[in-house]
Amino acid sequence: MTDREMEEGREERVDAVLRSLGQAQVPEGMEARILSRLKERREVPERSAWLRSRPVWALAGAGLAAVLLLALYGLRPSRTVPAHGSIAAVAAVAVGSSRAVPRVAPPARVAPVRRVGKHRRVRPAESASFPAPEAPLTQQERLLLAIAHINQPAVLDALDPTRRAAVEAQDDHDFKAYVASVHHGGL
Amino acid sequence: MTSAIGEFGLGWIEREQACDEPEIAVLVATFSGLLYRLAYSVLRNRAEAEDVVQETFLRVVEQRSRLSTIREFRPWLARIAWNLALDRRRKVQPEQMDEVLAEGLLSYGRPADVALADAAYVRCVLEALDRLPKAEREALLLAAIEDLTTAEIAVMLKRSESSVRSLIFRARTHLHERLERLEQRTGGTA
Repeated sequence: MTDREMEEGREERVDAVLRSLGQAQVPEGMEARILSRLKERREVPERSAWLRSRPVWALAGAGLAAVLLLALYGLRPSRTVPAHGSIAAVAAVAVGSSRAVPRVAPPARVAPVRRVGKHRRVRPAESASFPAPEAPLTQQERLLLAIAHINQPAVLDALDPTRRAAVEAQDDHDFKAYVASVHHGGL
Repeated sequence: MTSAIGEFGLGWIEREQACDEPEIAVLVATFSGLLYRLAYSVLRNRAEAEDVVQETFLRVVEQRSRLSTIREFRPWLARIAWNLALDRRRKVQPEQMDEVLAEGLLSYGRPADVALADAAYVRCVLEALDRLPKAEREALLLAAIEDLTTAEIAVMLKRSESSVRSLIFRARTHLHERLERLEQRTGGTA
């Protein structure tokens, strides 16, 4: 095969490939499918088309709403004093420093009573309770007070076994009464 | 507006409630073949090419408000389809479809060994076509579509007509050179 013939053959094949690419037959039913698709698109509600064509506005609106919510709720100062009945307050009372617990204002909103079942009404656990009562003085605190106050017969009393047992019993009773009062106070 | 593109029956665009179905049907019937061939020449895949045609008409309907500014409707439409096809080409691997195309080009009744050699050669041509510089490849593919004139190709590629002709000539020359080198490497069996 001469060079000329090879070149002509190559030319012929290239043309055949290009012809097949440029003269492809349209698939059957393509026009109907396109028209059907266009019709479907026209039936999409106008509102969704608006959202689709303006995603920037939707995003901007969402961003603005988030900023407003943050400004309203996210930047409130946090409370430094625990609410009544909280674990921190009870712990402070239990270690005998109830007098050191500051008075706090009652919460602005009390959680509503929630109905459970047919008749029972329960108050949510996080609802506000009344302030814890002051804890009674312990024996050691009383002795310290007695030592601090001159001319009181406290020392002699402490040495008497009968009186001492009575005082200890009174202490025990006071402590149990305190615990009972705290327990009924909403914990 | 009608004077610019009215020859294609686009009176529906002027109406407030655009898109009268019969006139869209005329539009689709007039241009779908051209757009399909354009897309197919890039994608070599029937389903993908049809999707491109659909997408092109959807774009036309969506952009009906600016159609009044378009002076040359046919190249404008062709360019939309062309660009959509090029975008889609990045996702589709045309090589996957070359086998189908090659088989379609084979003439029946030839000996099996000759048919296999022909199919291999078609794949080589397609590969060489893909390796041409972008401008040359695009000009050559557009020139292969009989419906398009050189002037329309020039509008689509935003070049002058002489530049398009030059690109086509260079593309053909480069294609032949590549194929000749390939034949020399394979000893003329490809």
